[in-house]
Amino acid sequence: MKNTTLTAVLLFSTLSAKLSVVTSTTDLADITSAVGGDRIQVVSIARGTQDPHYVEVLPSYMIKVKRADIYLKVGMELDRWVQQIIDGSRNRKLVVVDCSQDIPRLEVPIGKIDASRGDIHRYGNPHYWLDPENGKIIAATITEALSQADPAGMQFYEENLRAFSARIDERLVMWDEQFSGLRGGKLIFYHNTWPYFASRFGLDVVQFIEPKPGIMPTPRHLEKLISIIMEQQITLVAMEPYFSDKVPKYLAQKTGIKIVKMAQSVGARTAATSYLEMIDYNLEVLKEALK
Amino acid sequence: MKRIIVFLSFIGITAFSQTTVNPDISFLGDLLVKGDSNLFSLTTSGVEIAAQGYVNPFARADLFLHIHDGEGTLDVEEAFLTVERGLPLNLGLRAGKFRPDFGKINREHAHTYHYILASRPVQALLGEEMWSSAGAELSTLAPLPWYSKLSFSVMQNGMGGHGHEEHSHDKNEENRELYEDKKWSEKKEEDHGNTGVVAFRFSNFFELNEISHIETGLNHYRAINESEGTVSGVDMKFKWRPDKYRSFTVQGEVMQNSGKEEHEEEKHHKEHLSEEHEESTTIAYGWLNMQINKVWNAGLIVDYASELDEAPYKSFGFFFGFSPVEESSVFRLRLHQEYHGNEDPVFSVVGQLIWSLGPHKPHRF
Repeated sequence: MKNTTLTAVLLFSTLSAKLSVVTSTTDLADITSAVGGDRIQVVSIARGTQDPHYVEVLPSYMIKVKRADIYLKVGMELDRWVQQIIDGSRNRKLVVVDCSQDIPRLEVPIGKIDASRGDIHRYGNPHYWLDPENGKIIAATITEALSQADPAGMQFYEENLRAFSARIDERLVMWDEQFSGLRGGKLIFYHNTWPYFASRFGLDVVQFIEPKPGIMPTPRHLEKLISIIMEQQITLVAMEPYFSDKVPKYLAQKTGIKIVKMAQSVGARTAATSYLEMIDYNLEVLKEALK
Repeated sequence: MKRIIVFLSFIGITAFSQTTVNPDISFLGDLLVKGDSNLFSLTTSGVEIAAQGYVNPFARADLFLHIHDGEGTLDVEEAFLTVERGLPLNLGLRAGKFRPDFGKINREHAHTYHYILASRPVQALLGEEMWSSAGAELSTLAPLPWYSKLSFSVMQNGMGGHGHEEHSHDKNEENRELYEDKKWSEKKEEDHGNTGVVAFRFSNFFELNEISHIETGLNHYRAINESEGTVSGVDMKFKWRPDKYRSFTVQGEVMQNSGKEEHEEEKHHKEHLSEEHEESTTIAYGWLNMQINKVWNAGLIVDYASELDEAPYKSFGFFFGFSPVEESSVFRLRLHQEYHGNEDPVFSVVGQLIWSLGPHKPHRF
C-alpha cells in the first residue's frame, strides 16, 4: 500500500513538474512539442479546423490557461481573442510569448488603416507559420521561452531545436526538388492566408475570392474573377476548409476551375498531422491539382 | 453640471491612456422602426460610445456612454476598472459603475440582442437599460476542474433604475403607454433603490464536447435593508457550434421578485395595506437562435411575467438577422405578439439597422 502511494506521489510530482504550455494554434503546439519533448505538456486553444481569426472565448479556455506556465500566441493581431482568455485565467505567473516577434513580416500596410480595406492587420499578414523557414524562427523563440522557464532543460531544448531545424532544412531541399514544378503556378486563393507559403514555393497568386480580407464576394467581384480565370487560364482555386465552398463551386460551374482544400494549420486536414506533414500535404495537393 | 463631469471623465480616461497607447474606441448607432396597430415610429436608440483599454499591466478600464436621441443627455452606462491578474486566491475585482454579475441578460449589451429589445418583464424588473449602479464586485474561480465562478457585488442602487428621461418628454400618449412599465420600474428605484444592495452569482461552465457547451447560473439579490425585497434567479445557456458560422444557441432565465410588489401597490393604491399584496412576481424569458450561415440568423423568443401592471403577461416573437458584409452592420427584424391580462393581444413589428465603428461589435457568432 505504501509503495502504491509512493508511486502515485512520484508520478504526480513528475507530471506536475512538466512545464505546462498553452498555444493559440495547433501549429505552435506541434512546434512546441518538437522542442519541448517530454519535459512539457502542451495544448492548443484553437483546433486545426477552426479559423484562427475568430475563436469564441469560452470560460473553459481560461481554466486551461489558469494552470499554464507559458502562453504562446501567434501575434500580429491574428489571435486578438487571446487577451480575454489570459485575463480571465487570473494566472499571475503566466509568461506570454508572441511568436511573431522575430519574423520578417510581409504585407505590412501603409497609409490609413480602416475598415474600408476589410479585415486588415496593421502589423502585416499574420499567417507567417506557413513558410517553413519561419517555422525555424518560431522554434527558436519557443526554445528561448522554455529555457527561461525551465533552465535545467535548456540543453535539451536547444538540442531539439537543432534537430527540428535540421529536419526542416532537409525537407526544404526535398521540397525544392520535388515541387519545383509549382514555381510560377497561377492560382486563386479564397483568403489571403498564403503569402508566406506562396513566396517560399514560388506560387503566382492571381486573385482572391474575397475582394478584401474578410469580405464576402460581390456579384461584380465574381464577374471579375470569371473574366480573370478565362483570360489567364487559371485552373485552380485553393481554400481553407472552414470557408463555405459555395462560391468556389459557382466558379467551378462557370469556368471548370478545380477546387482544393488546403491545410492552413496542423489538423485542418486529416493528413496534416504535424507541422512538416502539413507543409507536405499542401505541396502535394497543389502539385496534383496543377498538373 | 452632470454632463460636464461625465465629459471630463471621458476625456480624462482617454487622455490618461494616451500617455502610453490609445484605448479601443467604438461607436454604435442604430435606426429602429416600430409598428403595431396604434403606432408607427422611426426612432433611434442614440449612440453608444465605448472606450476600453489597459490602465496598467494588471487593470483594465471599460467606459460605456450613451447619448439618447433628442434628449441631449450623455449617460454613463458603465465606467469601471477591472483587475483580473495580480490578485491572490484567483480573485477578480470590478469597481466603478457597472452591471453586476447577476443572471445572463443583465451583463449583455442591447446591441448584442438578436431580438432587438429586451422584454417588458425584464425591463420592468431590471430597468430599461438593465441594472447598473456604482459599486464593487469581488469574484473568484473555484478550485474545480471546470470553470466555476462565484461573484459577490455590493452596489449603491437597486434594480429597476437607469431609465432615461424619454418618457416624460414624450408627447405621444400611446408611446407613453408602451413604456408604462419602465416608469413603474423607475418608481421602484425611488422606493428601494438608494439603500444599498448585495448580489451573488454562482456560475458553472461545462464543455460537453469540442463543439458544444452549457453554462448555468444561480443568482440572488437582496436589499441591505431586508424589508425591501429579494430577487432570486436561475439561468442557462447552451450553444452548439459545429463550424465557423453555424451555431444553435438556447438561453433562458427565471427570476422571482419577492416583497417588492407591496411597495408598488402602495404607490398606486395608497388605501391598500401593503400586507395584502405581499406576493412574489415571477418573470422568465427564453430564446433560441440558429445562425444559419455567415449572413443569416433566425430564432424565437418567449417572455412571461406572473404579473406586470397588475395582470399576467406573456409574449411570443420570431426574429431574423441579416449581416450582408461584416458583423459591423446588421439588419434585424422581430415579429412579436403580446398578451396582457384581458386586453386584446398586440402584434408588433420592430426592425433595426445597427452599425458599429471600432472593435465593439453589435453581433457575435
